[in-house]
Amino acid sequence: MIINLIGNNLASWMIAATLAPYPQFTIQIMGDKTTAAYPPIQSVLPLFKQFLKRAKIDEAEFSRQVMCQPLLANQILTQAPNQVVNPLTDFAHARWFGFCQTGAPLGPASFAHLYSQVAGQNTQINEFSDYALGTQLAKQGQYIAPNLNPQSILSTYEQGYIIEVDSFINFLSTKLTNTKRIQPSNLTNTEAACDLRIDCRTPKRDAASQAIQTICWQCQPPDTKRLKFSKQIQLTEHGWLLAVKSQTEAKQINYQLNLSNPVELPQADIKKLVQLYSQCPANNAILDKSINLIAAVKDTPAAFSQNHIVLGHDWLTANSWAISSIDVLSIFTTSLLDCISLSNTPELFEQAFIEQYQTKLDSLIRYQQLLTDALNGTSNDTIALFLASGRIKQLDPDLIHPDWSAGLLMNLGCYPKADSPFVSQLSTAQILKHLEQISLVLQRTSQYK
Amino acid sequence: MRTVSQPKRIKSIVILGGGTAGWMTAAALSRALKPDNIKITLIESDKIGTVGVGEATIPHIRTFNAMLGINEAEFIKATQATYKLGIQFCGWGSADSDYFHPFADFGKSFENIEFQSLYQKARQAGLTLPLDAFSTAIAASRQNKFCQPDTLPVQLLNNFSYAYHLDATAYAQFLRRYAEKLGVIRIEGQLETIQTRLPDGHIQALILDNQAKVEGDLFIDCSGFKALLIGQHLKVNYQNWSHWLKCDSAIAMQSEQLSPLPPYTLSTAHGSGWFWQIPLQNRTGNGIVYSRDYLSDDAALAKLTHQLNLTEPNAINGPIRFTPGMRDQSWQKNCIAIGLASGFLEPLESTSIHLIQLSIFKLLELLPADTQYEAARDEFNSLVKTEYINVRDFIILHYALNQRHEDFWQACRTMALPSSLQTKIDLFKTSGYLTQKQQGLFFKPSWQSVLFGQGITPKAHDPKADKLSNQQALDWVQTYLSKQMQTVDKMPLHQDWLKQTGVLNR
Amino acid sequence: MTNNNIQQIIILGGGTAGWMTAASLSRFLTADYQITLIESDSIGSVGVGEATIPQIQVFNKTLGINEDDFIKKTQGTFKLGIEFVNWGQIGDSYIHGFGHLGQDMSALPFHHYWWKLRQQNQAKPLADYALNCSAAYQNKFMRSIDAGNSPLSDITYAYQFDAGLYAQYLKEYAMARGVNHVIGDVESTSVNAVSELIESISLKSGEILKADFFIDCSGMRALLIEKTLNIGYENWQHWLPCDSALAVPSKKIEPLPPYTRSTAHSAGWQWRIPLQHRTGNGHVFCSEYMQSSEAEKILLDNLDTEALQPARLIQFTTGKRKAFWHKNCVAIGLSSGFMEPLESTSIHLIQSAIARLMSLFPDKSFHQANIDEFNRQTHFEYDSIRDFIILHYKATQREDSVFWRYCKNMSVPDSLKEKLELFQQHGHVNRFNNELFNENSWVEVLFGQNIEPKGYHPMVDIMPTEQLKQNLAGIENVVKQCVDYMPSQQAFINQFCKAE
Repeated sequence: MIINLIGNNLASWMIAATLAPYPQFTIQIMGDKTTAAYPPIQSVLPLFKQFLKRAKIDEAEFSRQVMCQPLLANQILTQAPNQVVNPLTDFAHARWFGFCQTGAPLGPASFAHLYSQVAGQNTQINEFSDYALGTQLAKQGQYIAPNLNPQSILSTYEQGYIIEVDSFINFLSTKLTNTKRIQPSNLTNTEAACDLRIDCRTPKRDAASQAIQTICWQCQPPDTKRLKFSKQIQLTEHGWLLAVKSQTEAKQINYQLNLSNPVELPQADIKKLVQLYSQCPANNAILDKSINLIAAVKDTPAAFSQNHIVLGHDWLTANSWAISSIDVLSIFTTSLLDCISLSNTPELFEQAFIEQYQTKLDSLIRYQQLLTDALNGTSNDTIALFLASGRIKQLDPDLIHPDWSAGLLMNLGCYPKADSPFVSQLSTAQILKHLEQISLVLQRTSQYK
Repeated sequence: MRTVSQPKRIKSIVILGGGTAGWMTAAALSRALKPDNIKITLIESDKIGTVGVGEATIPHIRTFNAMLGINEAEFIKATQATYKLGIQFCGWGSADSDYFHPFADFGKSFENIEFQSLYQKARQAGLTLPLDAFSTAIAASRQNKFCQPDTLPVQLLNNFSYAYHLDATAYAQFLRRYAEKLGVIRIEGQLETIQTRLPDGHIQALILDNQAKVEGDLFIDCSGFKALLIGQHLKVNYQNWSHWLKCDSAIAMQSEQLSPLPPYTLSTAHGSGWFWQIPLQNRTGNGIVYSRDYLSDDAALAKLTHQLNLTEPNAINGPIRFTPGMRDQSWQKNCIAIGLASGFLEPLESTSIHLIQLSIFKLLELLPADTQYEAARDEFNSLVKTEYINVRDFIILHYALNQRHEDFWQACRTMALPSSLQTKIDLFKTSGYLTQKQQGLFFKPSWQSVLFGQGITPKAHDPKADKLSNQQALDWVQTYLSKQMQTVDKMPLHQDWLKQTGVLNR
Repeated sequence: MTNNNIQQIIILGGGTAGWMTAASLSRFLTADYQITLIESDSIGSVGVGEATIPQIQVFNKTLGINEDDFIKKTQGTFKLGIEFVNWGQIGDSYIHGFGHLGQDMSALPFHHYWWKLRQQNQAKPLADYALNCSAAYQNKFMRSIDAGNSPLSDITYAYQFDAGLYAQYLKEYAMARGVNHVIGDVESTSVNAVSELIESISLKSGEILKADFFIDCSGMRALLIEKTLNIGYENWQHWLPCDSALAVPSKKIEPLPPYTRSTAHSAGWQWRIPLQHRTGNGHVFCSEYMQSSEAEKILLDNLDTEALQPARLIQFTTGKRKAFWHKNCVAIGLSSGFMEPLESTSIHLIQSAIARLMSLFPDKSFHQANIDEFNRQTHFEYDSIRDFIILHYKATQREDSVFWRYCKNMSVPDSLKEKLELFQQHGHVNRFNNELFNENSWVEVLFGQNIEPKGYHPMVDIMPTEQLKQNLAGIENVVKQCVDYMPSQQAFINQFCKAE
């Protein structure tokens, strides 16, 4: 089976990687290396593990060879307009949430309910995120690898990654020695005989899509401990700002400012913004690239015709606070691998692939929407249900664990209604004791390291 | 005009109807709630019989029992239970075929390639065995053997799960003792009058034939087919699925216990429906499910008697009438229907208790603090509906895929299927591709067992499997088979296992 | 032989529906029937200024009510029709008048002849040939007199009155005839789980009232038929999307118009109902397309006279109950369904339900045949009025708002679609099974909203065009003379029935 991947970029390499374990597939990447139209540093959700597994890439090898660091939690800084917060020194406003289970239920009473019950009346209890090992480790700048053994407390959280995209592509292209690279002078030659063709090229921006101007830079502020194993999202008056480190021990911090008002800014203004948000002189900052991303809409799913898939915008454009291009590509590749058994019947292949890809993508988009709505204080079905019952709406498929969504909501101040039937039969003292025990266990675990 | 009423704290839950659904609900609620916080009352009448007979289950019941903290041995003895590794289907694809649907995966994947693909390739290399040869659970079933998977040494294939066959009436009794111990109040009586609170139209109290007045904030309708609250009173519409599931009647009959004791349920198709056989410790539950459009009650009774090699009908229950389908909403106002009041699907895949259990778990998760429960109600209704449709489609599959010649079966074969099911079958036929859900019942192995078992062979296999040759695949499945044989050799007979573990009643 | 007759009847709700029902039952049932009406003093009734259609005369007559006395006591006025403004297009106006339209000429209804000349620009607007319409425009009114074959011998009219006063009027009537009046808030009801018969109603005071037969006049809350018996509701919002109304009384209009006016706005319409002492106004709108603050502003900006109170918001869902009579409970009034009062049908629906109940009056066995027939007739009545109301929205050329674009393009019930198609051929209107609105009503609205048949009826040609012209001119002349002869409505009222 010959599979042609048109375009030499992140998408084509990730697709090639998932197909590589099957030597009977001939994979050809066709075209020149294209300029990046995606953020150079990306944070990925724990579902990235699925990609590694499908591609038969050893996780240890990946984290050794790719510029990356494990991601245990996200921090969100919110502030009043015009008020600049130094993300490295002012933690008062940070809300932490991760990929973890928080606390433990007490009998039939969920931890979110228990916490909400005492949160109002007791000032001495900790933040909700302090009762989750994953977020607590991140806050302390510590790292312990999660563990799958359900008996272990290390199974209560999962990890994502912060990845330098170029380094990741390099890693893949070095590893995939069997993948053929073809550079035709004229891309129409890519019509060359194949069984499946996937067009990974960056599409032209059309009128319907909205541009996001993104400024990316690096610099070295004084204290960077708090950015270990976490990513920081800051809502500012100019747009949202992402701060991450691509390597645990690095001194450089990578910033990405997505301007809410997508006008091309003059260089001087860019410098001002850089200085404003990184708290270090603009001259010291390395202005990496200023790119135009296409913020698009999910209504252009991968287009299809007769074993020809056009990847479309989705993977480029899902540069949201919660999900990244790599996340979307992970879904794309796993869906492709699942459905490839149908590739001899193009209509069924198309139907099954689109169905799977779209429903999984919807699941990620819901997660992003949940975060946005929780921050804006707007309600949606999931939030309404959570406030009423402390439960996360169950949908199939959902790539986001309900514990993560619950943690996100709790940490952003969406508490379920007090006096749930199971909580109201417990005394405040019982609940506080339970919370204390959890704190103790977490403390012991994080110190044990 | 819309009236806004103050939310009222839920202090009292009333369950209408004993039986399996009623007592399972009562037991679960009493486990989770303290009686001084929320009072739980169950109304039942000794005058009303329950439908439950010999009941087969799926492994999920163990989660339910574990939640209650029930000791397995005690439970088995009290309910005359036996173990169950799966269901054998005889005569479903063609009149002389048979296959098993086990609670287990088939075979084992190799080199990132799913077993199904390996099996398909091995057949190209000359393998003639059916798919269900590759399951420890099935191999054990065929030899009437059983042991709990975690008691097997690790090097063996402990890759299966199990459920039970039980006496549903005894199970209800067992749970009644449990629930009453935890403070559930049982009130004897038959519903006579329903008191409605205005202006919201909630049920406020039930008044019984003995004039007892039972007030409550939430009412659980476990009144069975009569659906006294959700159906008769609240008039929630019942979606009728009989255009897909044509059987509408059943007759149950008991017979002597079987020896050797099979660790599986037997479902045998006949010309216009099917027979069940559920082995208990002390007797065997049997029954015939049929469509009256194709078979009269008398003929059905005669057929069942003949099937059991009896000369006279013995301990009959029925005919029981049913309409497959479900309520548009199981939770309406302050009434939640659980069990037959909320819907009915024939027990071909032993899902009755599971559907009860699912409603109970979702109710516990979503149990509201007060009468402002709209969000919880909508979620509950959507989850229950999803699972009913899930089970429905899987049951329809058994009817749709057949090569039998009787009128009933021809009608089943030619009926228009729900579109999601039709797509699923088409995809599988083409290339063996199976869509996979993350939640709910019946994962890939279940679908594989029925699809392969009822005669569908995919036209092509997954191209990913082509990194192995057909011969390599054949070698692998044969290696698997020998390991399976070793495993089953180590397993004791089902009845011996019951005896050894001390749960066999005298 | 035991008497199977009903002994006790409870009417729940004391608005217009409740008291109309109580008055009728007390008039036509013997004293063996104990009638109790339960009324809450904490719940206001929806009724505001109420406009009616001519059938109300029959109702009043059967109760033996004196018309002048009734008009006086309810601040009533006379009503010759309804003016519709801005419905077909902005700037349009037409009157849907009661009674005759022109004069029948040989085989066909008048409008066929008229349409032939109108197409040739040789006929006046339809209103010039209808006494009701012409008189309305000049604010004139009188009752029929004996004038041979003159239109003055047969003037069809209805009333506009204060619904609260009307309920009060009927309350006195009913209580004088032995109806037992209980004031209290309802707390709960009891229903037999097997027979589904309502057994009793409990009040907040602790009092429990039992009866054999219950009439639900509790308005949109539908406490018995829906909240207790859960009959279910058929929603018509896809056809009639308005779901809110703001009502406000304003000062009296002078000269006093003998008609109701309905003015279309960008997401609904505004009523104006002139009474003797003040004017009832309201803005019916669709909250999906308009905020209530905006609706209020439009309402107040379009009052002809000064507002007397702040506007009051009423919310509703258009539709009907899935059954109107179930076991021992009958719904009458808004508990049975709701349609906006565009064609002033609310009171008519009450009155016809009462008439039906009388003719099918049950005994304690509550025969299903009675119940089925009652429901069948009521469904038919609801559906045919619904079609007529939808017609006003559908037959529009307006494109100036999302609301009107929706209405213009919505799919309508098949029964209405067929009627429209039939009319668009040769102007034929089929009155189905004695439905409430007759051919004239349909014709006036259809032409009034610029729906025009492609051709005219072929049988019209049998009359020579010249003769036809003469005939039409003659009718127009007669109408004009009649209107000249009529007094103004105010003068007429002053003479016969001025409120004290």
